Amino acid sequence: MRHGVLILLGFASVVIGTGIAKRAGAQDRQATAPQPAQVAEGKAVFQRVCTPCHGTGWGTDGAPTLPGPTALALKYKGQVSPLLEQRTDLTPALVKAYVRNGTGGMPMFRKTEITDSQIEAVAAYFKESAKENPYIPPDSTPKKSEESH
Amino acid sequence: MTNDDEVNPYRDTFSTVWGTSDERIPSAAVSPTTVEQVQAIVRAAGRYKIPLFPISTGKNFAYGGPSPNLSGSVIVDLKRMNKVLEVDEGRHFALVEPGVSYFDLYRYIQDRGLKVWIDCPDPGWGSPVGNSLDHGIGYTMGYFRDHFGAHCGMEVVLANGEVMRTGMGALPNAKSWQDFKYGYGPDPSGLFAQGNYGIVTKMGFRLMPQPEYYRTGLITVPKRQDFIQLVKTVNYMSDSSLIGEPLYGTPLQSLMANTAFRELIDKPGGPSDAEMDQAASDNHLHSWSVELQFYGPEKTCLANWEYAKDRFAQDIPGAKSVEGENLKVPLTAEQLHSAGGDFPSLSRRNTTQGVPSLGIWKTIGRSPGFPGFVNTEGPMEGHAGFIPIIPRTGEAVFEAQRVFGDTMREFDLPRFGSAIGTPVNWYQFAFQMGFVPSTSRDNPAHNAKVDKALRRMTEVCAEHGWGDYRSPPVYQDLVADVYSFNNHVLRRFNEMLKDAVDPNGILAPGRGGVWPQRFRGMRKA
Repeated sequence: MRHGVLILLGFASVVIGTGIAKRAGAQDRQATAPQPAQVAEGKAVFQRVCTPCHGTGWGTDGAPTLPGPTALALKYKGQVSPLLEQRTDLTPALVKAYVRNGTGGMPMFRKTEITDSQIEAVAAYFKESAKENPYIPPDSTPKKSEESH
Repeated sequence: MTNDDEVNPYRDTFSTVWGTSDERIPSAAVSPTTVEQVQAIVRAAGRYKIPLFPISTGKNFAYGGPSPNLSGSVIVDLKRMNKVLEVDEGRHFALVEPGVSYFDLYRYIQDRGLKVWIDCPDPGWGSPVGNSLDHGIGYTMGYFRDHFGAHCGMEVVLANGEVMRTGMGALPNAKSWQDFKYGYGPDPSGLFAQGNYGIVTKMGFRLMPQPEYYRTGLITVPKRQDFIQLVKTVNYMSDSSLIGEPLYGTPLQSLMANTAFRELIDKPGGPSDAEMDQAASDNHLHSWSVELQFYGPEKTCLANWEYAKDRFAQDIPGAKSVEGENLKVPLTAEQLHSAGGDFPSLSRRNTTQGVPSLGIWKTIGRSPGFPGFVNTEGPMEGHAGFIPIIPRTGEAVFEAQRVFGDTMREFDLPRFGSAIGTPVNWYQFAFQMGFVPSTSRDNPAHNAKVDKALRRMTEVCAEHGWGDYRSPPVYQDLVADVYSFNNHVLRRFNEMLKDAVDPNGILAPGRGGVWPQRFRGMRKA
């Protein structure tokens, strides 16, 4: 009996996953400005938990980037940054939705691997890191004529 | 944890039966932080006869993820028991809790500048405890690649809540728990790997001393039948501890864009040796290669490579050698990033150096130039693993090529098995040949085909004496069922033990095909 219930719940979560951004956006309207301690915690958590896949720099075995940025570059085709630290749209609820449900090659992560408050801290860190190092889409590079003025 | 967003991540996203009535789904999860809490959980479960399923940390993808054998089980998630208890640089061992990942242990060692190596799987998000208890493997020297074989001493919470230590750990004043795994008398530690007789709460591992140098070289041989002697000579070098993991390959891979060649290697019953030799000579290619890896002092690495060149030239007419790299350890970031040398390396450099990484995850999901898990039905974000053990001979590889190829012909799936298929030598003393088809949560029809193919492959391989080494819960009964010598006496023995030490059948019922009396009717095979 329990098995059947859980299967239904599982399907539900997949359906929810397809509307991750919409649901997450509604939940984030009450978001408050991140505190420095939370941002610092988020940075530490991001570096420990997320950067093996979503970090900057090389991939391995000759790959130019790690699997996370590689996949996101293909997915978004430069419209948004392949680096999570440059994303301005990753609200706590959206990050949580992706972390808990997974997407594509990204697996689901359990609360023992990253807690809800750690996810919120990571989202707070993204908010600050994106300010410090904003993403410049490839097609928005100033043209030469503009640069000369 | 009982809410669906808490329990859902304990499902196996790579499952071939995702979303079907066959999927194994837990009902809840608990996450102890101490051995005492594990004892309390086990005692409570015994009192109320609640089945538990312990996991450590990591993902265990292709082998069942965190999912239990019995739906409704309560996951005992040991991730929060995450202490590195000891690393001894002089005696080369570590003692860790189950929640310690390979990344954690690597960082611990690096932060302290200790001159020891871990041997990690790929990807590296798993744990030494969990990986070794599922007979996981690595990529350095033979002794260390067998992760369970390289364990030394464990602490286990038994089904009655008692704490037991194996080996020298059973002697209260011993100072050599991680030095001598046997202690005295029967050693039950093997029962806890792919087993369900206790919850492992501490485990020791032998560590490789950090080598001074790392050297590589490639040997190629011209004829198809040369593979038989190539394997024999590699076996000699490997079992003499002269080399690390040998990486078998074939220069004929470069012909895969050629339709006629693809048809030749997929020919029903396999092509003849003469046909394959003709294809090789027509294209001025050798038939086989093996990449050799040497660890140790610079002089001995060089001496072993010089010996290899002479020995292969002597054993196999026409054998050629190609120089690889000679690198001081630890490697620089640039050297770690990509293998160099005068040949395209088959190695994944991080793992050859005991450096955990998630780089291999480029094979999953979106990635340019890696079509392995993208088939005609679109990208597939998962895969299943059926990688049976075969003898470490060239003859066995030729037979497996034919059997895999002919069996796969029954299924509308990307091909695994052809006349150029090569084995992996993860375990030093055995070969394995892989059938690793893709899976997708979004494509149940494809998953159903894969499920059927995995069952068929298990059956066919068993007819040839080849059995899987590691399997998701949904196939564990099937795999265990083919290990049937003398009317399944091994399974009957294991289940006698199970009933004796876990009379309530609360610990991971069904794991490894071992079902307690109470749930024995749940066996699927």
